[in-house]
Amino acid sequence: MKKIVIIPAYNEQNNLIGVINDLKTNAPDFDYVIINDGSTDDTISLCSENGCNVINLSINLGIGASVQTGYIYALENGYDIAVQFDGDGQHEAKYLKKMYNEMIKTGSDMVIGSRYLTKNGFQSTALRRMGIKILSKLIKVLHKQEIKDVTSGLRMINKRVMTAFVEYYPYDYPEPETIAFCIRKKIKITEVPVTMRARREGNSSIDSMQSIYYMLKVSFSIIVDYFKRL
Amino acid sequence: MNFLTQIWILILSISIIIYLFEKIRKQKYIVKFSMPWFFTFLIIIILAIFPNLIDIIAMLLGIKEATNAIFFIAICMLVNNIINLSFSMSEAKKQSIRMAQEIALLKKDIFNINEEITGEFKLVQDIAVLYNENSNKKI
Repeated sequence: MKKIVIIPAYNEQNNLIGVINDLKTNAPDFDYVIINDGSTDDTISLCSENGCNVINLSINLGIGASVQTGYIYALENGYDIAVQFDGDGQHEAKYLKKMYNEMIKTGSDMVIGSRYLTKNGFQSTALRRMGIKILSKLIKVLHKQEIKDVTSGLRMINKRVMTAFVEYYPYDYPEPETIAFCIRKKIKITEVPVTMRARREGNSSIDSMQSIYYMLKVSFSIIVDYFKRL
Repeated sequence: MNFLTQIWILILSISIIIYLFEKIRKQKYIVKFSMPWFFTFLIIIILAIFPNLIDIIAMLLGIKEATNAIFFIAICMLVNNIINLSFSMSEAKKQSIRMAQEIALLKKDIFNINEEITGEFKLVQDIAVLYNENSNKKI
């Protein structure tokens, strides 16, 4: 099985090398590709100096379209399994093996690394946890399946889901909506407990001012998604 | 409606139509996007020529003042045009994102091909150098 880790990165020059080294030592059987989303810092030169496998987007497309670019690349290059993995050092490569084993064992199409199954490690702020809980409940009410960590950016998917994501992937704040979309498409999702670190440097893509807009937009897209035909 | 107002509305509408028409003729404007505006101004011209129509429409809408009916119709048409614009924008955004993705992937392919070619070129160079050294030794 060919496996690849897709690392979306926007101005992550301080974290990226650490992430790559973590992957090389703790998940050596995974290839990786960095999607540089039109970074304005030294991400490009850093990648070429270190000989990283990188795709440079000329303009900033946002997280959704970056990850989608990775899925297009993965499909074109015949990968069977792709992992979305943040470039900011929040995720730890040691969990990839565990997620992969879970995927094979349960025959899932998608495995999510979840912070809230065992409640260890970085848990995010109380306000954000509440938001995540609301979105999780919304998905549970609409689709009768509970996913605890709907905003987790650590997700492993197989070819079937990749094909679906290349066809349609929301451009901003994509994670919760894609989970609803996957359940609707009868894609089997399982969660695996992981711990995440707090961000080392830089800011999260969602700041507190945007939180309310985030909640509204994501809830709305989940509800709209519910009314889409199969 | 005042006769003078009618004349002014006609002049304004016709000049806008001419302006849009010129833009299309010079290929700076796509016909598809001009259609809603032509339609809008055509209706305005018809209403300016036959102001009695406005009274009838106002009566049907239950609006007392004919002027208010004009505003109402105008706003409806503008909202329609703007919503259509945001549809087109959304479509254009989708297309440009897909294009940026394809370009990035192509750039990567070209980079890989270049690496391969320079690698092969270096190999050929090395072989040539080795060959030359050996043949020099023999002499």
